[in-house]
Amino acid sequence: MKKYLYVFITNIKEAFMWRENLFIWIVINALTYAVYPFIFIAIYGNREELGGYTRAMLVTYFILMPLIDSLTLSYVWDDMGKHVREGTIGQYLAKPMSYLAFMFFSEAGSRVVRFLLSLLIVAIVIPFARHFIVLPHLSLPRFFLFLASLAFGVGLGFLTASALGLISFWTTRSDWALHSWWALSAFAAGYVAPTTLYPPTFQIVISYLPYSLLIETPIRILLDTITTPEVIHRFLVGAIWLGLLGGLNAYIWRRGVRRVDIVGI
Amino acid sequence: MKKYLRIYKRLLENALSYQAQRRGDTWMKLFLNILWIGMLFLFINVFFEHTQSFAGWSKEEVYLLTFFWICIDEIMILFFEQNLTAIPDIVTDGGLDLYLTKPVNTLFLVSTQKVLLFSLYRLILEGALLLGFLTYYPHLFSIWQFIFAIPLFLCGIMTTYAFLLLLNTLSFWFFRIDNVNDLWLSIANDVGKYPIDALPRSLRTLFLTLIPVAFAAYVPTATLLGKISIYGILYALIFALGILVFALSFWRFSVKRYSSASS
Repeated sequence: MKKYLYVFITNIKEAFMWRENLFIWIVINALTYAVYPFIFIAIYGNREELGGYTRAMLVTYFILMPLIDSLTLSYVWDDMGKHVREGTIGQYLAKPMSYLAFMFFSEAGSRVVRFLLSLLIVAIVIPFARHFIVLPHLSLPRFFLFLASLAFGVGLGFLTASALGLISFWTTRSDWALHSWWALSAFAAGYVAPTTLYPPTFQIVISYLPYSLLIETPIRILLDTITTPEVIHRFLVGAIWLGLLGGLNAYIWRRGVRRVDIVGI
Repeated sequence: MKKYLRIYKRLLENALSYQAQRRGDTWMKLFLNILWIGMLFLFINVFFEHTQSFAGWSKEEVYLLTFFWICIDEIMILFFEQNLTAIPDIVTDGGLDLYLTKPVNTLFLVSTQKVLLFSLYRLILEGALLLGFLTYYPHLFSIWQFIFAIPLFLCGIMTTYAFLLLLNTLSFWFFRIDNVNDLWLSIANDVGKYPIDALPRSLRTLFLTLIPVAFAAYVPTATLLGKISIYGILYALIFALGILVFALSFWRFSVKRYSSASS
């Protein structure tokens, strides 16, 4: 475990090394999440509530999104794809550690940095937006539910991204899989809108997909707009998806490693 | 001029040959594009389930804006996007030497080396969908309004090109800014396809000046629908010209700073 801790710490240090990258990332996040509340407020009109959200709750939803997103969203497919395509995966195969665990802890370092920066942005925004948001009040059981939903989100985000990255063992042009995933998750995870605004049939379909645990479920637990039985249903669905994705990753990895030809010394 | 046309013809031939080897990939991308467009319109539909008007725009008008945004984005992908976003890599690894030593304008080569023909198929599909939409809603604008708006669409492409060039030219000055293009891609995706009238003045100003995403589709569509004043139109024309001149000057200035990293 100690070796993975080193990987984690090294990546935190590395993320701080590329300050321009971090700055750009802050600007992107701040602007993206500044825009959405206004777009949604425009459709409220005279209504007090929409899809179970008051205006203040909806603004809070988009303020909380970068915090959750920084922890659950995984970009590991990009590095994994590169390692396979460029043959650098060989150096990881020769090391006494699990490649998938290495990638998880390696990304966890940059996730922590992304989270801290998002927290900084939110801390700056909150004093200005204090009249337009609701601050979450959580009981201890709800807090544990929130932590569990985050753990599901982190796991599902990572396993989906790694499965997409490992497709590179078979094809160098795997961006189609990634784009379909993006398209679906943008819609179903609640990135572009809370899914309670969608027609009922869509909501039912979405409740059986893993996406909502990436963004919407943790936020809805914080805002108390989801009942405990609903949360448990999502956890059950999430657990099934975690099992499926874990199995898929193990299968792809076993089959893929046998195919790989590494050029070099 | 003839020399450049000859070079571009050769680049197109290369693109054709590249495309011929990846037919399966093209079909997959076409299918995904349909999925993506479907999602975008579904989302707008969800929006208008809850309201009749969005910041003064009707559902059909927002559909039209989204169509134009998709088409302009596709034109950028077809001709420029992949080339411009590759600049940080060729600057960092010294690949720019290959372009600098050729007896043609470096920026021309850097900006046009790859034409992504799969995007052309998608553009044809999107154009067909747009035509179908306009047949269904023929009274959104007149042919004269369309002719009047054409320069604005060209300015939208020009502004987008110039801004992407500016962002990527920063790679001459900063060692590692891999995600600089995400700034454009992410914000253009989030803001470009909605009427910016819904945003507060500060954000509107930002998207009409420092991060000019509104020029790509919003300004031309608003012109087409008569939602923008003559001063707004003049501003868009002057801005497009200004940012292009600035981007080209910044490129020339930055290239002087470049020192080869290769052997």
